[in-house]
Amino acid sequence: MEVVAPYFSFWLKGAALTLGLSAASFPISAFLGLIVAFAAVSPSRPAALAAAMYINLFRGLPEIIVIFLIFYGSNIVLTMLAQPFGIQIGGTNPAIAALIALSIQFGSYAAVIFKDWMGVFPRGYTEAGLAIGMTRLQIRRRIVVPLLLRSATPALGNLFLVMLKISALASLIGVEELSRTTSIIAGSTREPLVCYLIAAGMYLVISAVSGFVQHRFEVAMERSI
Amino acid sequence: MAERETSVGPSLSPSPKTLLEVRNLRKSFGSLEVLKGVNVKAAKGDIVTLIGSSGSGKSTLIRCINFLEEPSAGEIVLDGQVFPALGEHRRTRKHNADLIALRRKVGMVFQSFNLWPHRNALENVMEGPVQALGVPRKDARERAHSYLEKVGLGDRTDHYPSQLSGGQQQRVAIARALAMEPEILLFDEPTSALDPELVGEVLRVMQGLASEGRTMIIVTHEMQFALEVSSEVVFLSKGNIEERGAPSDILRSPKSEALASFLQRYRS
Amino acid sequence: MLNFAILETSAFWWAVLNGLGVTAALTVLSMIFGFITGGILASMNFYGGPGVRMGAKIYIFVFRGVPLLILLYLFYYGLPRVTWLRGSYFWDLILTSPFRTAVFVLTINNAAYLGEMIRGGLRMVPAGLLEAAAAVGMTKTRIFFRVHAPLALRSILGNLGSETIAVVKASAITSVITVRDLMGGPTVLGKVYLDPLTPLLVVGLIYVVIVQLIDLVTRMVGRRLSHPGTVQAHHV
Repeated sequence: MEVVAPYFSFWLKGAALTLGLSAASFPISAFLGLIVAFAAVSPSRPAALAAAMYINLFRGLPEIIVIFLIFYGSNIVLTMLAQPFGIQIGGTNPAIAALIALSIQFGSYAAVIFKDWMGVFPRGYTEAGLAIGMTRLQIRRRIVVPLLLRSATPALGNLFLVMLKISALASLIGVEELSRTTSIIAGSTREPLVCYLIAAGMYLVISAVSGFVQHRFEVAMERSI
Repeated sequence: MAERETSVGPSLSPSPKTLLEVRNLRKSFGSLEVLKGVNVKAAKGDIVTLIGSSGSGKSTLIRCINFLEEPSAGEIVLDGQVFPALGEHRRTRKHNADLIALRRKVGMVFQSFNLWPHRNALENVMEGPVQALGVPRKDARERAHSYLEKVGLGDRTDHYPSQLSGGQQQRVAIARALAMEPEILLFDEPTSALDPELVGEVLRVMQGLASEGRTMIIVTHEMQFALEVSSEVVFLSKGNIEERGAPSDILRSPKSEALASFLQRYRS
Repeated sequence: MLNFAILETSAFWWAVLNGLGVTAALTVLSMIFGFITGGILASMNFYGGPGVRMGAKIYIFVFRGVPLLILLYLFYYGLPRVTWLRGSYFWDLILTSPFRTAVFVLTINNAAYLGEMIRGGLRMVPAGLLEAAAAVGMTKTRIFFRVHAPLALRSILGNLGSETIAVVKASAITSVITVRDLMGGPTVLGKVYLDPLTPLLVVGLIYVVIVQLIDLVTRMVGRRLSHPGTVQAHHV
């Protein structure tokens, strides 16, 4: 324990980045999921088809592959784009690559959640909007989206907890979040057992706190209706 | 089916101007034809009550008036403006805009209230004026207050639907329709989802509206209420209008077998 | 930069084939062991006293809350430092091979998720059916194996497809402890050929196809069992 003690501030920085990475990706995922879910249920065939392809692609792709693909892929694309101009590019920022990968991947998971809730959305709420002459867009923005967000909150909360854990994979492309800092500390102290146990504990605390916040949020929302 | 003058209400004006006309309306769901060419007319101040057993097509008819159900053929005429059924044609932008204009003039009250659960009573009532009519929020708020007052819920404005009884919810829904200041009000079985002891408060509000001379089309099973307020009662059976006329004629001395047995079931 | 030369080597395709076998083995083994362990956890949760229940709850909280990556590191890099484990049966059986470590870690992780699922299934069985079994004089154990467990199993079969998909996807992470599964084998070759991208693309596509196939089978079986809804599961 004494050996790893000097590293705690480094560790906390990693934990903060873990939380920050998920906190930044999650709203993007939710927004993306909402758009894709609307496309999936839209009467436009191309839109519905594109949405189904997106959902099924990421239903099948392991997150670790998506993260590597985005990281290496964007590096290569950027280099190819820069080459004709003779610009040297340092390579993709790993944190940004992880952010993009998590957002896209979890966008598909969020889309599935929203789509399921749209399937059971009471028609009467939409009809009440139509009957007072609201446009489809107004009904979507003012009635459907707020109610969907509300009913999907528990499922989205669980998804956030999944994202917190998946974001550990960002360490593999060099993002210095909690897992990466742990590996670094484990390497320099030669105490992998202690270090990974501490990291496991930190993840549990982050999950527990997030779960608690989510629970309070749900209760507060329950009370407001 | 014979055309006949439908406006036999107590209105004293010599030739009441027709406000709403349903012309030869047909509606099929797949191969099932639920409305087989129906005509209804309402002049300003008329109260037309649609009765009939379930499956007679009365709810479909009232939902076709504001195009919540797309009619298969026929047309709706409101204030001289004709809204034809689309039939096989694709819906266009122009058509959508017309429908929205129609719906802003036609208020509707649903069987299951359909209040939005994430907005309180006041916000439910304000939504239409603000979003659909573009009334400034401050004016809309005042308007919503006055209509909630009118339905007897001035003290419940910040309650959410889940905190209100069924009767109160339905009264908020009526205020929501009124706040659009529509030319005509549609009621689709407004008391059918209510516990018996809550029916009265909603009917009283509707009675009040009737006495103000509002034009209303009502689908209902409340025969006593129909008798008291209607200017015309229309009996639908299997997608056709079987009988129509003054409420006392229709409800007290039915001519057709179908209407007689329908009323028999309600008397018991 | 982006050439597909690696696709013309037989070594790559052997790695893909071999990796498919490893991924299948990881998935099947950890599903079987996970289901058994999960069943025990669920029974502890359902029938146990307060202490036993608390134990099951803590297990599930811990192994669902810690990322799979950290668990893998912990068992692969951390545990071998515990000198008194050396020579023990656990050491010889699990810690001497990355594959067996991977199966072990996937199993303990999987058990936490399957345990919750099975508990849900046990809870779905109407109490009346169990009382009926007790009324005809069946013993507690007999009721469990003859009535409660079979009925619970039937109600969760529909979820097994998505659980399997979650395990297939999660198993790709075991490549970080040098397991040559569908992810690990081909991507290691990618490093040799200085082409990290092509193996990822090929392997990614294969995962998508595998998952679609599992979905297809689930739907075919599911139609017979008439189970509505597809729950998406994540085991990481």
